[in-house]
Amino acid sequence: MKYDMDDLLRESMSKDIKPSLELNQSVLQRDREEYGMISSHNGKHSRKFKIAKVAVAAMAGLVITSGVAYAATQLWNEDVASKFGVADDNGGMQELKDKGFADVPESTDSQIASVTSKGIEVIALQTLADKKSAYLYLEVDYGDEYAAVTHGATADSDTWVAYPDIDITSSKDQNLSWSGGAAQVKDAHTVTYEYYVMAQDSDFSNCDINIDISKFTVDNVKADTTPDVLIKGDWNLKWKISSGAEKRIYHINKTLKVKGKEVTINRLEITPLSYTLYLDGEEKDTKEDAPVVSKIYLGEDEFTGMGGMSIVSSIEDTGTFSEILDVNKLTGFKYGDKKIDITDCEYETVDSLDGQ
Amino acid sequence: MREDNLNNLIDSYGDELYKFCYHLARNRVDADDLYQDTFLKAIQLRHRLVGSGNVGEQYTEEEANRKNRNFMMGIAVNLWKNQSRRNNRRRSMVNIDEYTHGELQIKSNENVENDSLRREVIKRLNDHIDNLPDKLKVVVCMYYTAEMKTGDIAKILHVPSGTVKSRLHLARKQLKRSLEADGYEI
Repeated sequence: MKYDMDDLLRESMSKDIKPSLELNQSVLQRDREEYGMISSHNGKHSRKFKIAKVAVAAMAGLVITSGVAYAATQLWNEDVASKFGVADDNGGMQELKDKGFADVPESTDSQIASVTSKGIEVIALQTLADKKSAYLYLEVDYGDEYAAVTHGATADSDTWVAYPDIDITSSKDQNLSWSGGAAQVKDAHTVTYEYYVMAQDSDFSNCDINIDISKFTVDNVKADTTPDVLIKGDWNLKWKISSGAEKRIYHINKTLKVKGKEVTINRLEITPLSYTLYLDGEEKDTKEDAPVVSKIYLGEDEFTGMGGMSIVSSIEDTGTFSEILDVNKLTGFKYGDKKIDITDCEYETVDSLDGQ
Repeated sequence: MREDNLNNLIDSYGDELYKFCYHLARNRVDADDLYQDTFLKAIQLRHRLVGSGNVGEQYTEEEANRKNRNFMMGIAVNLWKNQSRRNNRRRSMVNIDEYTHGELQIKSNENVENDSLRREVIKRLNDHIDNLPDKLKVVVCMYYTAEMKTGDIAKILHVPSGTVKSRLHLARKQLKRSLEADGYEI
């Protein structure tokens, strides 16, 4: 007998099971207990609040703006927590520490930047940064005058999202590469955006990062190549990034055939948020089918956070992660068609690249 | 006021959410925990619910319901993912027979023999679903249990819609291969 997979899946998950009355009562009871506890025990509330702010300090860095408004406080953003696979609570904070983001600033005065101009507000919600890369999570409130989407926020397929024309620089005059785009449509006037930023020649320690937005555009619905300008203006954000987690450099120095071509892999630089694989040779045009690091192995497990930004050339392959990598568990990676074990490779730990 | 809000949430989305939690967690104990935690989280974030006065006035009732439902499912998925990471060892020890034998009710088919065979296939399928990587399992559960659109799943998981489709495709392919290895024709 032949079965249809789609039918089987629907049938296997078709059981219509309902919560018991007791379970619903216990939800209400737990809410009364937990809500009541926070309301009446100031000490506990304050402590919880402080830890949450430290979580922001660890991952968001200190956020300072020039001539713009401050948000009072900002908790560990749950969108970012979800994306990077950590809980948006104290457990998540502990998990971050366990994964190498241990350099937690003592300050609890972290503030997230925001700037409003011409009715559009840009808010820096969260930053994750290590020694090589940063992830920026911004929210733009287009206000009542501008629609963030052209076909309604709930449309599934024909939603055209407005986006900022953005320039990202740093106070260290670093050679930055970045990519990003809309992350989530919150409602018809609010969209969040994510940007992966890589610093090739120095790290983000104690450096100000600047965001300059000169206009907001939206892709032309009629598929013209030129996006429509929603509004021009000047939106500037500036804040200091704190990069806590270390960077590791594995010296591999192996020559092997990858997809039929001989390559020498020099070294792998890896952080919880990104990697760069350096190859020996001369820089030349890279074809689209050039080998890349496609998998990272953590013992018997595969790291599930591959994705994000990618830059490939004939002498290096760089990528950012969509989850936080525990570099302590790293055992190897797959480059092209070759699995490379690095458990025997020597590595050095880099706390700061300043001055190099 | 707060309790009224919570009661309304339970009335509106409780049954559907519990079914989703149950199929995601795959046993009653974890499903109960996930269900409770989801509501408690939702009530903390109730300002984000459509119709709460902050957002949503521009939505029809149907759209608002869908957004709120997806919001609840999204919380459940995120909580489950976090819980799942912490409890991987514990989850592997949960007896999935409870799910596959004790509680799952298979629809009857043309005759008893076919029904029995189909029951066996579903049992094996559930074993294999349980062994899927979390990323694939979540998408399968959202799509088949909660009957969510791929666009909505994409928004909740913060991935492109194409990624959701490819995960669904990959999950079906892996499950098909596993069932074929068991000797079934798919």
